[in-house]
Amino acid sequence: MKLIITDLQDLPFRVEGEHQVIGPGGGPLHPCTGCFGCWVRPPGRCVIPDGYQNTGIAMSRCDRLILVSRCCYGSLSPFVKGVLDRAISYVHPDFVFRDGEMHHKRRYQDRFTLSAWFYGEDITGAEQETARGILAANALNYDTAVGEVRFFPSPEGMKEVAL
Amino acid sequence: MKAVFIDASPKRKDSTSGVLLNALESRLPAGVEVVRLGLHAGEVPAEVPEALTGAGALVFSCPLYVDALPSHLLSCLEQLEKAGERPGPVVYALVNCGFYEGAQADHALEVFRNWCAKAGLAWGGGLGIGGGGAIQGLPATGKGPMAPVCRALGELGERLSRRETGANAYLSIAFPRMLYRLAGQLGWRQQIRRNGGRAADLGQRPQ
Repeated sequence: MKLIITDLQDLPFRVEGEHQVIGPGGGPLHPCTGCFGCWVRPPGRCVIPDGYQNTGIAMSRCDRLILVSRCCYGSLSPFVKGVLDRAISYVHPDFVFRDGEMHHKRRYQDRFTLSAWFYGEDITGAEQETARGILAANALNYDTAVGEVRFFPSPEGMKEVAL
Repeated sequence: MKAVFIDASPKRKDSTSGVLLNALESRLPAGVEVVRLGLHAGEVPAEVPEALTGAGALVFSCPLYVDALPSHLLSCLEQLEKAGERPGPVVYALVNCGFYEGAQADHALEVFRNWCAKAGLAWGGGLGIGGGGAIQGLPATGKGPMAPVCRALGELGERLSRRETGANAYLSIAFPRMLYRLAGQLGWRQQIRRNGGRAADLGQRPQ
């Protein structure tokens, strides 16, 4: 299953096969408060009941996670980043070491490939480098692989692409 | 010189970000007047852009969230991109992370640097501080586990008092990595027991 997390109300491209879209149509997103309730109260779900609390579970069911996001200084946009901030229950709070660094242990055994399609009319080279670095760091922390990281001048630029 | 310190943790009180700003403020040379403000949600309070007027330095302090900045802070940075006059303050940042290695905050510091480029402000450099999960329980003194953090904060304080720019620095608390891992994992087990669960529940896999 493909899981698409996007800040766009409507995807400008065609998605084939089984998929789930998490987007702003789900209503206002409450930012993570750093309470760690998703790890201890009880684990696996965010404790804020705004409709976005089960993203970590959705991530466990997908084999491809595609982030479709405005590029914000090399980061994901506030909405897409906010959804991921609320989904740290996907990983276990305990620590493991990967590539010589401390990261979180896996909670689930299934693995997805992490891709990101960024859009924005003035994405600089430095921002692209940061975005690629963040995606690689995310993949290391999720213990998964990085797929495509692409940049488009606008959402309309994705029209010719099919997922 | 006026320096604006912004606690950008989503926690309104008792945040590690705030503790680090306290430690930085206590190490500033004479002549730096600090204005402390908070960005704890996605809307920028009116007093923040007002405070930037005439400021020589701006310091953000925040936790690392999913290898980058917390979402509410991204929203605030967008709102602040055009705020205030130019050339404006030199911008510095402290990013603390729950992992041991402060270097894991490098991309978050890059986001601040990229924001400065878009905002037309000078990026003064920042600190990536590892071991953030322990910092609140440690005395911010020049000896003991916080010594490397306090030393780096002192150096950053000197730099910002002169409005100088410099390279990022990455550091960890002076505490063995394996003990830090063990202490963190014991902490999660204590928390889940306090909530009526069992240690084994930490690994639940809701479907």
